Amino acid sequence: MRASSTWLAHLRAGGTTPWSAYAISTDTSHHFDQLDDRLPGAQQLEVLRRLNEVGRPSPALVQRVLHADLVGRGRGDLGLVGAVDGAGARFGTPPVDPADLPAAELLRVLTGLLAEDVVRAGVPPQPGPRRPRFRRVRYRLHGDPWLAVPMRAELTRCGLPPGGGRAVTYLVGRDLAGMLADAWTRRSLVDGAATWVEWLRKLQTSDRLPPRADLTRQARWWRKRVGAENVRIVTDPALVPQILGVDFPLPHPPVLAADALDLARRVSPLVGLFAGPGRREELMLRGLVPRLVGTPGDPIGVPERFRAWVEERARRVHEELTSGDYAVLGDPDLVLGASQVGATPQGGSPSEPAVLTLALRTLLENDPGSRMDPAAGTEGA
Amino acid sequence: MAKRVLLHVGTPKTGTSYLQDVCFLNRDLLAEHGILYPAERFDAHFLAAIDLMRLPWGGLEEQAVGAWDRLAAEVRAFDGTAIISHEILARATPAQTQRALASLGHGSGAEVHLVLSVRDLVRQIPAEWQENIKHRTTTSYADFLAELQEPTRDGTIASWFWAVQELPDIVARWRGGAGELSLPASQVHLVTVPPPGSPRDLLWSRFVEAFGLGGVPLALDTDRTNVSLGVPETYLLRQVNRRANVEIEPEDYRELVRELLAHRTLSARTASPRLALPPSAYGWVSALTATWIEELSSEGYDVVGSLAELQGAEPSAATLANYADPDAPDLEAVVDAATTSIVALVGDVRRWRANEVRLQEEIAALHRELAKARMNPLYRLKEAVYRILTGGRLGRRLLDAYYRARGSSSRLA
Repeated sequence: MRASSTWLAHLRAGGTTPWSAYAISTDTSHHFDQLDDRLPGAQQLEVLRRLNEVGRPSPALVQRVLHADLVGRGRGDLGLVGAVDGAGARFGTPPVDPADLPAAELLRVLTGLLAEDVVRAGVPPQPGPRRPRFRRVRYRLHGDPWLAVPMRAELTRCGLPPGGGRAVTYLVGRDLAGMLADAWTRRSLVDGAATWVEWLRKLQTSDRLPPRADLTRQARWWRKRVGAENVRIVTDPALVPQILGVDFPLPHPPVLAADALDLARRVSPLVGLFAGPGRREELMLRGLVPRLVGTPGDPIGVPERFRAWVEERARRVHEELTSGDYAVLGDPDLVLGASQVGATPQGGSPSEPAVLTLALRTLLENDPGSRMDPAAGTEGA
Repeated sequence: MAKRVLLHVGTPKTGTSYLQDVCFLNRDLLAEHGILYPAERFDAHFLAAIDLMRLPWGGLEEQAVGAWDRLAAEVRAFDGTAIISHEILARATPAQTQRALASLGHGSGAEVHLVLSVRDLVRQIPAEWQENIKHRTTTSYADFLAELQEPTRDGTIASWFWAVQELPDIVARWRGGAGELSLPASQVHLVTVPPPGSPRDLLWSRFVEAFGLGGVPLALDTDRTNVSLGVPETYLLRQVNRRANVEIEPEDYRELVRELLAHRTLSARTASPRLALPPSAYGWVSALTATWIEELSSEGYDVVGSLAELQGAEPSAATLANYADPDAPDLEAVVDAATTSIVALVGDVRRWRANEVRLQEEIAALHRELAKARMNPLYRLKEAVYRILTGGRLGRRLLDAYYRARGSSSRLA
């Protein structure tokens, strides 16, 4: 009986012994009820072992993990070092010790499974629209879409859709570092994005702000279309209900921990792949994000090496806002956001091991037949 | 259930685009001869492949949902021979290959044949590096070669390259081990790409033989051919990538850099020295290829062409002496390529501007027509009533009520 097959059976039974230790010490006369002819890749096997460390996956989840695809580019199914022979040993990617696999390789298994869960779970029903109001509010709400889109949706639901003759366009924003984080957050969830650091590096290299975080550029665009007298920049999102004169609160966008956001970023393109056109945004924003909101950890922050650039760009925005060319509601100093930039100097960037742990826990939580071990799997989170 | 399925899984850079285009353009004719090429669009098999392999592909994947299952269902429903072809299928994992084969009817009545077109690494390595450069990579040729020789293959470039180029491994993954559902060696067909200097149509005649297309009077004119760049042109494109990756969005890159600059402009400069394997890499490639030939020969696969062609041409003394390093090209030639590019891009801007002027004229003409229509007395009366009504609260409510009653989508906001 081959050690690799008995290790698979050991993992199926909830075992957590790493392959290298198992291959040396195993007594292959152990009896296991179920032995597989075809061994999954080292990636799937190691994910199952790590799941066993974090909790008790159900038989159905075990089966899903062992048959999971490796999504995205990268190496194919890898063999176990010491367990591959024949042509398999001479050709193909060399076998590995699964314990040596980097977190990113294991996340290729997990993100595919999580994306399947997101698509399968769908989204909760939307609260119904309220009765149309007799009172009209003529407005358009743009600016930072992470802030503006949920506000607009709530206003519409409450019978106050945007638009109308002589509507005033309000461009809502906040401190520039926060708007950059918002732009990357929305892009990561809805469109697909590079890592936070890589994205910032490109912006810094080209010295430009993304359109979603560039309030004055948006203001110029709108002025051409609706006239300068109909455009206002709002630097404090909390002012929006008062400005529009509505008597109900407007929603704040969810705040995700950096690790949770990075996990969502990795899952997002796969949700698009599995769900088809036009469904990704809703599944991500109303399906996955609410489930990740409670994840502990700091939200993303601007890393030290980009702070000088962000502060410089914030000063330029501030100068434009105070030049008298724009109608500004709220304190223009808020765009500087001195207290926000680098507010979390040590945290605020995702860590791959923590993202891996979060993915394992989320997968277990999604599966009704599985259970978590409360004492395990918190390292790195 | 299709009686016979010819599943062409690669490899890239072996004339696959030409074959796929001929099959797509002649699909009605093929159907008349009892051969199914199931595709509503030219990239249908590509979409099916990324769906099967769950590969995100710059947003295209959203169009691919369910594409493999639809393709397989069409094949199963057909009574005859079906052809499926895409080179990225070479990268499928064992689980994906087994799923694909089962979905095509392997093991339940259909005779699935694996077709792999193959070319020597002496040409594949520089061709793949150039393909990487045409897809925004900035990796130097030296770094590319070094990564290919890393035993762990854990880099992005190496993992993809070997997944789609290591012939014994590709065949092993698709044959599916030693079980009873393993694909027999007699159903594996290797089509070798002839060496440089062979007759132009020799590769096509090999495809015709492998796919059994001899009796079909196919129209062979297509405009989809893979173009190649010379050494200074590839160097220039790599430098462009360094800036373009920061400043140009993917969709603009595809249209303006890859299509306009690389394919339509730089590839026309055919007098430049061609990319080649560096002299120092011949020994490594030769030894590696020998192991592949030995393994493939021992399995008894059907070979259309000759496995010896995989060894690649021995470099002549002149070839070695004239080797042009794409990491350190003749800078005068690079400047010349850049000048050609600037002139071509200016020409394209001129065409865009002419187009813009024409569109502006069309818009102005439409505005004139609109103004003329507004002179109509009935229109002017309606406009006046609307202006009066929207000027007051009561009027707006009346108008809103009218819209509601009429069921119009143009209700007042």
